Formats: sequence, C-alpha cells, structure tokens
Amino acid sequence: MFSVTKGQQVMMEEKPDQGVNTKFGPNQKYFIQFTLGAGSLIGTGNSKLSINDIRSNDFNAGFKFKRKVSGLFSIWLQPEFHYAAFNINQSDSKSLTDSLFGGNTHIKHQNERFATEALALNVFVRINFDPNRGNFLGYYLDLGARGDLNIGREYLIVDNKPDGSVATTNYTGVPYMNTLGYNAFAKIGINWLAVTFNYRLSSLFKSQYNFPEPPVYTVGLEINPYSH
Amino acid sequence: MAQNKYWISFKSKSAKNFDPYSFFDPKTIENRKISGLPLTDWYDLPVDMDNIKIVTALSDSIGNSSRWLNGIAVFSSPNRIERISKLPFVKEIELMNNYGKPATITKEKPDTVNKERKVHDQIDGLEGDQLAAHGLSGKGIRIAVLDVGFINADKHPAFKYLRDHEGIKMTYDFLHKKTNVFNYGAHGTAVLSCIAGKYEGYRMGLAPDAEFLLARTEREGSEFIDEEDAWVAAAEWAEQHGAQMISSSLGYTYQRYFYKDMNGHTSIVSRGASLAARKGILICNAAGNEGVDQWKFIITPADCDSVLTVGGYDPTTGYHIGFSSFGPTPDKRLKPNVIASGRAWVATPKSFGYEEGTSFSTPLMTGFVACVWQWMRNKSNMEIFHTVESMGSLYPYYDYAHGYGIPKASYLFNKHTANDTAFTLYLEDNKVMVSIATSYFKDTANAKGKMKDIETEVSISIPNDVSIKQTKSYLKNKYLYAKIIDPEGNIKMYDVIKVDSQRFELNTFTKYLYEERQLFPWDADNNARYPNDWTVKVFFDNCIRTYKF
Repeated sequence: MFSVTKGQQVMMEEKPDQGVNTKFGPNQKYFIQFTLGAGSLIGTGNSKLSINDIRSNDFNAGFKFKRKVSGLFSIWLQPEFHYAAFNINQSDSKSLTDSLFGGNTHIKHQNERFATEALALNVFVRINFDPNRGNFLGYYLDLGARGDLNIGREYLIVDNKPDGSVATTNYTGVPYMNTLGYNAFAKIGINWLAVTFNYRLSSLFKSQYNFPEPPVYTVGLEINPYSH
Repeated sequence: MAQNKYWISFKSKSAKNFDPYSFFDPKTIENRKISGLPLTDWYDLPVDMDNIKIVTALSDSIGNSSRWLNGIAVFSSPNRIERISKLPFVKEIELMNNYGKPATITKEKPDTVNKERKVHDQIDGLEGDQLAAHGLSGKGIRIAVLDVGFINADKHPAFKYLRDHEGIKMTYDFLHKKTNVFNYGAHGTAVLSCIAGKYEGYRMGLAPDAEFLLARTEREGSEFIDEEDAWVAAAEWAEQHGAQMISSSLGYTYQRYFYKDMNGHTSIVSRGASLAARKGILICNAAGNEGVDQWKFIITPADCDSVLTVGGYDPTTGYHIGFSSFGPTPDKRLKPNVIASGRAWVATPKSFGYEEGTSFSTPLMTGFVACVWQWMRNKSNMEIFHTVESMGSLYPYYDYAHGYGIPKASYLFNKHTANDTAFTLYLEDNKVMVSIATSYFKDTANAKGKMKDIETEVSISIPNDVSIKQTKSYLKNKYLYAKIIDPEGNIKMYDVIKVDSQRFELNTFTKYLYEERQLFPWDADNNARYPNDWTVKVFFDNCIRTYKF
C-alpha cells in the first residue's frame, strides 16, 4: 500500500509458442493417457471348479503410451495394475482347494474365491478406422498381448459362524498359482470408451497340481479419459 | 462396405446464361451495387446438373452442393469413390466426416438479479446505449444466423418484437431440407436473442430492427455429424436472399483438423467463408471455447482472415475470459479480431437465463456490427470489418487473447483519442519499468491516529507520532496490457497486469528476456545487453508506449 516499486499482480500471461505442441496429442506422434477398466469372466467352468462369472471380476488401472506409425497404425505400451478374482460357486460337485488342507472337499462357504494382483504390461497395435481424422482418438481396434507378474496370489474363504460372526480366511502367496501369466486381447473403441475381450493363454494353476482351470474369456469396458 | 462422406470438387461449369435479377433477392442486387461488386461472376453460376446426376448415380446418397465451391457432398463407399474419381469432370475428392459444435458451455443459472441489471453488462460493454441514442438498431441490415435449431423462437416472448415487425424473412433446415427451423436445438434461440431479443422491454442485443434469415446447419448433442457442406450451402442461400451478414456461433476443431489446419484455407467452411466475404458478406464467427482445453486455439471458420473472429471477455473484469480460444493462426495472423462479453442473459426454450460461451459474444458483436453498418451504409463489408477493429478498446494495440479489445460505440461518433500522458516505459538497471502518471493517485486526509485501509476500508489505529500519507488509486478495472515482440513482429509473450502502485517493474518480462531466453551476451563490464530489435509494447488507458532494444 505504501510501496512505490514492487512486482505487479499478473492476471493473465500467455506465451503463444508454448501452446503449440506438434508432437504430443491424441493423433500426434506421442500420447499418454490414463486408463481404467473393469471386466467379468464369461462362462462357468466345469463341475469341479464351477465359477460364478458374474462375481468373477477384474479391474485394471494404468497408463497408455503411444507411438504413432501412421494415421492407420500406432504402437502402444500399457503398464498397469491388474486385479482378477475367480469366485467359486458353492456346488455339491466342487472338488478343489479344501483337499489341499485335508478337509472335506465339499464344504460350502459363504464366499470362496481365488484372486491375483498383478503388475502387468500390455503391448498392442492399434488400427484406426479413420486415418484422416483430426487430433482425437477416433474409432479403433486394438490387438495385443498382456504379461502379468502375479505379485499377489490369494485364496479367500468367508464363512458365517453359528454364533453370527463371520470368519474370513485369506491365504496369500499360495504356491499352487502361477507367478507369471500371459493373455491375448482385442479392444474396440470409440474415442475414450472401449469394449475389451481378453483370452487368458496361460494357466492360473501350476500344472503339477492338476487343478481344473477357470474360464479363460473375459469381457469388459475401459475408459481412457483425455482432454481435447 | 463402410460408407464415408466425401466432398467432390468439379473442374468447370458449363452454364452460359445466368440472370442475376431472377436468381437473387432484390436486396442482394442492392448489396452488390452498394459494395461495387459485379452482379454476376463465375462463383454464382450453378453446379452442372449433369455432373450431379452422374455422381448421384454412383453414390449411396448426396448432401449439399455449393455453387461457390463448385462441388457436392456425397455418402459413398471407397469402391464407388474410386469410380467417381475417374470421371473426367471431377477435380478433387476430400474425405469429410467432421464434427462441428456450438461454442457454448454451461446451463441455465437461477434468476437472482433485477431485470435491467441482467442485460446491462452485455449491452454496456459495447456502449450499446450510445447506438440507441443515435437511432441505430440494425435497421436495413439483413443477418443470416446459422445454428443447430431455434426451438420455440416462433413463440418465445423474447422475440415478440421481432415477430410483430416481421423481422424473420426466411428459414431453412439444410439437414432435413425443409423450412421449419423452430425445433431440434435451443442454441440458436439463445444466440438470436443476443442479437434481437428483448427481456421485459430491455434489449438483449443491439439489432432488434434487423431482418433475419434463420438456417439450421448443425445437429446438437451428437458426435455423428458432418455439416461443413450444410454451412457453405446456408451461406450461399443467405447471400442469394440478400444477407449482408452471417452470425455463426459454430466451429470445427480436433475431430477433423489439427492446429496447423487453422490457416484459413484448409477446411471447407473456411473456403466457403472466404467466398462469402468476396461476395460482400461480413461474417462474425465465434473464436471457440477451447482456451482451457488441449486444443487451446481458435476454431474454423474463425481462422479465415476475412471473418470477424469474436472472442470473449469476463464482464466482471473486462479482460479475457478463461475458456475463450486464443490466437494466432499457425501462420501468425492476428486472431481473435475483437471481443465481447462471454457471459450473457439469453432466451432459453421456456424462459431466460445466463449462459457462457463465445457463442454469445458473437451475436452481441453481430448486432454491434449491424449498427455500425447501418451508420455507414455505403461502406463495403471489409471496410466495416476494419472500422470495427479500429473501434476496439485497445486499438492499435492487440494481443492473441483480446484482439483489438472491446469495440466501443462512442468511437463511431467521436474520434478515438490517445492519452499520451498515462504512463512512461523505460529501462532502469536492466529492468523494464513502468511509471504510472500521478493523476491516477489522489491523496486523502486521515483522521489523527486513525486511517482507513484502501482495500478493506477498515479503520486502523496508528501511533500518534507516526505520520502516514495515504494514497487512493483510481485504477479500478483498469488493467495494463503488455507484450514482447521479436524482430519478425511475432508476439512471444503477453500479459494482463493489475496496477496497484505508481512505479513498478514488469518483472515477468525481465525474467523472460533475461533468464528464459538467454538472448544476450554479457559485455566486458559484466552487464547484461538486451538483444537488438526486440520490442516491449505496453497499453494502459488509451496510451501506448514502445521500448525497442
């Protein structure tokens, strides 16, 4: 108030050259965007391991990095965190897991599932249906593969006790699930929204255990928000 | 087989006999005579019907054709397009499939302000009362408004005055090929109200006595739209039926284009807009609302050099409103040209409300321009264009957020006088300094032992043995505009600064020139030397100062 000389309050400042980015953007040479997805298993497996596909979900969150090859093709890397749950139907014929612990294999639980928490890397090629589009993602088909490092391998059971309490038993780092996994996938997208189809190529369980495998197909949705 | 939309350009026209008197509205003939334009030229000749018939037979369906661009839009599969491309009369084929959008954001806000106050800012910013005082209201000017629809405009109370004096001359829906435009979208209703609407007897726009042609050229709320051909067709229709102005709060950006395409001649709409200007039409187009998005810059056809591109300002501060798109064009042309209020009281489908967007800056400016043209009826469109620019509050200063500023009606009647004594600009100790004239500061007397804080007006006690001289500035809503220009004349940086002391350093400029650019070597005495031919230009209260290094 009494100062004669001081810095002023800059209400607005622009540097025009800095606003022009010709290498980074949805349809430029490079692009990075956040991605979030969710899916559900398709199919119920077999009688020995009957899966509740509606409750067997997976979730993923990560980033996508793009390198444009042409208006038609681009190559992407997508590191992410991936969670997959395989929820087991409590049927009379199920025969898995209880046998590992010497118990009755047909014990029915309130909830029983396997789950993996993975650090995953997706590598895919994108085919754009409108190579002459402007600076946005457009309509596309992604074809690629995903490798999983299952840092978390869990078996969880939840039982309601007669006294009304709930007992949750969580086995972590279980030895009969594979540490590594690999998948193939396809995604059909319109700008920020995509429908995903995943095929699990690897086995969930180690071969020496001879466990029945859960269904291998997953379908889901993915959102990839970005600003125009 | 996948189907796309294509623009087919033809090589030539074969029409020999063309009677402008039977084709054009008499007002078009009058406009051309006033502007000194020929009554007929090649662009007016119709597209060859034989060419259209052959192309139609090879297409799945057709869109709009254009006399000006000598072509037609078609929907076709790649196989069929391949066959069309081999026709001897086809010059060029371009893939379309672009998506336009209205330059509007936000929804209705609650009505909490008194009636006159609601429309005050949007009118007062342009000194609209002075236009009305001189009897200017757009009379004799015919304006085409291109938009997504004008729902309820045929019944809304905001347009009772317009309906009563039969101000709407013609309407056409270029998407459905019918005359009814009073449905589908409300955006056009709001836009039209900012030119010719009245709210409780108060003007919402500046040209209620203008004549209107209403055209629907866009679908609202869908990404699956492609209307550049409809925009051009509507511009041709408007010109054919006597329009002198086009108000377009529409534009096209990332879905089809990159920033490098905003050069005034890549998009179909910019080519159509250029031809419309050549025909004597003055187009006001929204700059766009991409200012805070990744796109950031102006949209097309606002990139066209003969389109008056209208940005938005915040009516509470008087300078750039955040969402308003920035210039320049990729070839460094100045855009936007001028600005108007980016927030307006508009007609909504069932009532009234506030809306934001350069969609509403544009029709406010359209009404202003119509009044100017009514005052200077014998001038051409480009003469009016440059006159409006020269009426800008910052003129001849400009930047890429404000253009030449807010046009003021008073400058139409009184010469825009410079204020040579407002401030000085100089270099001191390697700092870029501004010194504001003392007349902007005024002493106020203080009660002994007490004083009032300037900002809060709260009384403060001071020790009796302390003598304080307090100044009060008259700087409310007066901002300082400053820019750095390189030797090629390109603006490298521009600021808007709130002045609150008499002498100050443009410290961001010093930092830019000194540190970020590292432009200048040190001399033998270890003093910084500024680069030759770089310029600092500053505007404050109708005074411009330049310092050239």
